[in-house]
Amino acid sequence: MQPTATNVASPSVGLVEGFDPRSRQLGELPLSPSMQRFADEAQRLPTEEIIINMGPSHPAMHGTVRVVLRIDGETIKDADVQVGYLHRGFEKECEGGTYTQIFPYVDRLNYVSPMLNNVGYARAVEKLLGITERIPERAEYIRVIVGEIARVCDHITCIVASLAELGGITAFFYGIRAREHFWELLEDLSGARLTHSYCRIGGVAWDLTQNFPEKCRTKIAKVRALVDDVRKLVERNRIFLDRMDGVGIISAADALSYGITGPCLRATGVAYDVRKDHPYSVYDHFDFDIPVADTGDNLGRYLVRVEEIDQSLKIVEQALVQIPPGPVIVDDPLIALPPKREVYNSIEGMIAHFKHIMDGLRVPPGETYSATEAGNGELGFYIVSDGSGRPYKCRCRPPSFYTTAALRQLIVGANIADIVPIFGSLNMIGGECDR
Amino acid sequence: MSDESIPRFPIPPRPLGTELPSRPLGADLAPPPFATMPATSTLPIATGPSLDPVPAPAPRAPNLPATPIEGQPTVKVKIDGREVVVRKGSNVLEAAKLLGTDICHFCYHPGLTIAASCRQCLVEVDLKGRPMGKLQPSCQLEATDEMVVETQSDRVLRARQDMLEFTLKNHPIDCPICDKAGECTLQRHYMAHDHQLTRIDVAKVHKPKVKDIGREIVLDAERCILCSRCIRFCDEIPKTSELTMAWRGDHEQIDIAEGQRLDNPYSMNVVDVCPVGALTAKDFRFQIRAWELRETKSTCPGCATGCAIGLHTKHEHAYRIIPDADPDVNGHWMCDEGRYTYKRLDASQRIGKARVEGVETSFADAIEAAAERLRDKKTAVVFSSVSTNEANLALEHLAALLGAQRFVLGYPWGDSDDILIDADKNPNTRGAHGAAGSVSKHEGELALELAGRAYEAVIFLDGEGELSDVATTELADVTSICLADRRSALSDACTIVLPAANWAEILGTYINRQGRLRVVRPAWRPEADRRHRAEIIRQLIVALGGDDIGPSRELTRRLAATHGHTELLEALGREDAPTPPTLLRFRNSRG
Repeated sequence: MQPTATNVASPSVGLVEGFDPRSRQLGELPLSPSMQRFADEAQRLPTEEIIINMGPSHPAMHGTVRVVLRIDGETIKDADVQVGYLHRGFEKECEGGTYTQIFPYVDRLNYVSPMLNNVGYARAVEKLLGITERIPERAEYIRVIVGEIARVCDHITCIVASLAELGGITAFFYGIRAREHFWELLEDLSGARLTHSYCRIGGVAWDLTQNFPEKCRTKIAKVRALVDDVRKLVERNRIFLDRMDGVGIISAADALSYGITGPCLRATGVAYDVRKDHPYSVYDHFDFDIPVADTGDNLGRYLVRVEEIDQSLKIVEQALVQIPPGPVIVDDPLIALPPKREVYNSIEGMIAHFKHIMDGLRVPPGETYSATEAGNGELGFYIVSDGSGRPYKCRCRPPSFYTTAALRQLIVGANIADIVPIFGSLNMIGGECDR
Repeated sequence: MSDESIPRFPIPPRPLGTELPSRPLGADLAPPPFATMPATSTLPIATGPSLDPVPAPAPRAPNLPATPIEGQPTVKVKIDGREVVVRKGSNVLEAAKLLGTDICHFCYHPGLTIAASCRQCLVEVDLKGRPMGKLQPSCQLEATDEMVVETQSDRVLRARQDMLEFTLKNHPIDCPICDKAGECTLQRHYMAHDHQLTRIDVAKVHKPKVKDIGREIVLDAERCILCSRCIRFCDEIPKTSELTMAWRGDHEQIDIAEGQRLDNPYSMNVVDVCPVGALTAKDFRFQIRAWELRETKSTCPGCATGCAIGLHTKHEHAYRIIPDADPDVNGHWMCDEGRYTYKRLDASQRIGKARVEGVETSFADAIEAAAERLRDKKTAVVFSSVSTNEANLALEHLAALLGAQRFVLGYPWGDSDDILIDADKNPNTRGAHGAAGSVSKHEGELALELAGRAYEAVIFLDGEGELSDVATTELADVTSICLADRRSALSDACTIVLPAANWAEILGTYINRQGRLRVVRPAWRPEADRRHRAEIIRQLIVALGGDDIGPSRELTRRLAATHGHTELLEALGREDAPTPPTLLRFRNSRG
């Protein structure tokens, strides 16, 4: 199926109506003759390369990444990107927990869009159990709704944090306010603002709250307004365009060879989105586009994310209309916990609950890989089961690990100051990259 | 010193005229036939008809596995479309086990007669082409030629569900407080075969709970699923018949006669045979959850029978012992006295560091001090019937090096019966005597010779054993070295104490009363400075200038080769570490 792709960087589409980014004058400050001679001499001064550390704890870097730079003046000659400062042993921890106990762990992978991780992991285990067809439709719709809300939060966070580092703090606060709306909604639903652990194997933990659809629609409207405000603040801003346009360019071929997926890949012109290319869940019931840019630079990645926010909100609105009534978890005491009324009043319910908690749900031996579209790209889970209630291996394919691999190529030759917007636009989330 | 931590249970009196010949307290123990080998012999041999006649092992299990035996007739039966050749006379359940199909059951037990009362093992059978009208209990049905068995047909699966529904009808909702949770057959079969919630909305029948019926056992009649395994056990093994079914219909329950107690010396076996938590051991009640325990197959050190056991531990603590099935030695059972030997592994009594004259020292220093005090001195070397063959053999090399006089020490003998309990309460009498050789003397003589200032140094292989008070006081005048794993009166009296690992921390072997090689395996790594006695002796020999005798694993390998113990040889051949890695919590549910 041909994915619908919209090139947001072409002059006629995207950005504020009628504004062409290429129409601006590229900066050449006119210098007086004496200043010009001074500048020419400065060019010919001998320089020395120094090695400087942009340490794991840095106020302008997103997350804990260390970049050891070899610089010549302001230009970066070489960079050594060192990740792993947030490695918490996710895979090893998973070996000790039951399949249900892993949900809090996956929450903390990409911690700005936890629901997408929940869904990705739950789908992998369901694939191994062979119950993908038996997930109730209402559960699938709920997963889509909260998943897309999480994606919106992820993209908003990426964009406005990047802007904050460029100096646009107002945009940052507007974006955070928008994210706060959604976090309030999800806290109402799951009990937590960020680490929801809302999914279960076979569905979701419990049904939506009573007035969820109305509250959701109100919040969507508010978020749309705030995102529009952010866009209007920056998209005609000279500083923003100078620092984002043409900076951090990666070609489609290079991106593919690094294994990059998600907005970073779509910004290079490759229209790959797991929701369209390998449709899963109920995504084929919705009408939405895949934004694609063809520049491969920071601005392209920004525009793709902004457009994806809009598309995700469209999906949520459609889902709120289409969602059917029904159960929210598969009806099988071996997979889902029995209702508490049964647990406390019947021995069958008690045994099912007891063994489910203590032994974990028995997954037949085998291995599987299952991928979904997370905030940063294709989030995969490779799970090996030995027949017991605990996974033998649970590996996460973290999309931001592969984007971070491209960081070196992107910043070599650029200025130090360019590292910040480049790295910000890659959206490396430490929890996912290092696990 | 007698082991006060182990309760000794009186054996019930035998009927007149059937008394077993009493064995004296070891004073005139005839040396085993192989003790005519020269003193520096290497290995004690065993097995074969030349040994003293010993009582037969535990009652022969009535339900043997279905593996065909050479020379005996076989039948071919088809189960789930696969054909299998089985021994004639085996039941369909055992035949299915050969194929790897585990038919769920409650009341069947290979060591007990068949009741076929639980009806959980029903299968669909076609005999000679004609289907048998009703579903048949596979534990009772003898496998014959031209028999086609279906264990996964719809009718069978439905029957399993229905039977479980009936069994669960009056079962109390006790899982959170029941000891058996995690190793409960009812839980296991429910999760595997019955996927439905309850259809019943009437109140459950109430029966006595927490009823103290014996020295060791607590009965919870509500949890009982009336499989009658405990009744059959008491009828057939100790033959004391304390338990019975009382009432009928919905109110049927296990009970004991008014005023009677479940007091036979094998009473704790009913806890193992009970598939649910109806009969629980007072010793184990509420101590720990079953899935936290790791099992290590080992040998009971309680007496010369050497029952195969599973030692249940968590980290470095032992919580209980259950019997392991060994048809040649103990069948499926063990005695209560043997179960309590796990209390010897108590952590509070363990010796972690070496002591020289009461002062804690490093291990190397203690070895040096010991070597110094042994060099060119008249020494007595005391072998131990409680220690492993490896330890005794290593000590034999040391004795040869020092030219020392040999003695053998052990626990005092006690009561015996003709089921499993042996009068010799030492696991390795034959091994110790085999290593010590024919010129060894007895402990009583040690006391006299110490009093007569015959020796300047004494080495004890073990701090366990009965040493008279006379001897203990005489020890004060000589250098005494004790390889002790826990504090005892003897280890306190000795000059130098070297920390040894106990029987749950080492790989070692015993020779039981039948002459079989019995293996103890490590359940955890020894802490602090504790190590295998054979390794300690090895270091002592090297410190005294002798040749290195090689690691204890080598001694074990040679013993296994001599006795033809293929399983042990295979285990030694593997390169894996002797103890498993750190327990991942909750990984070991056996339910």
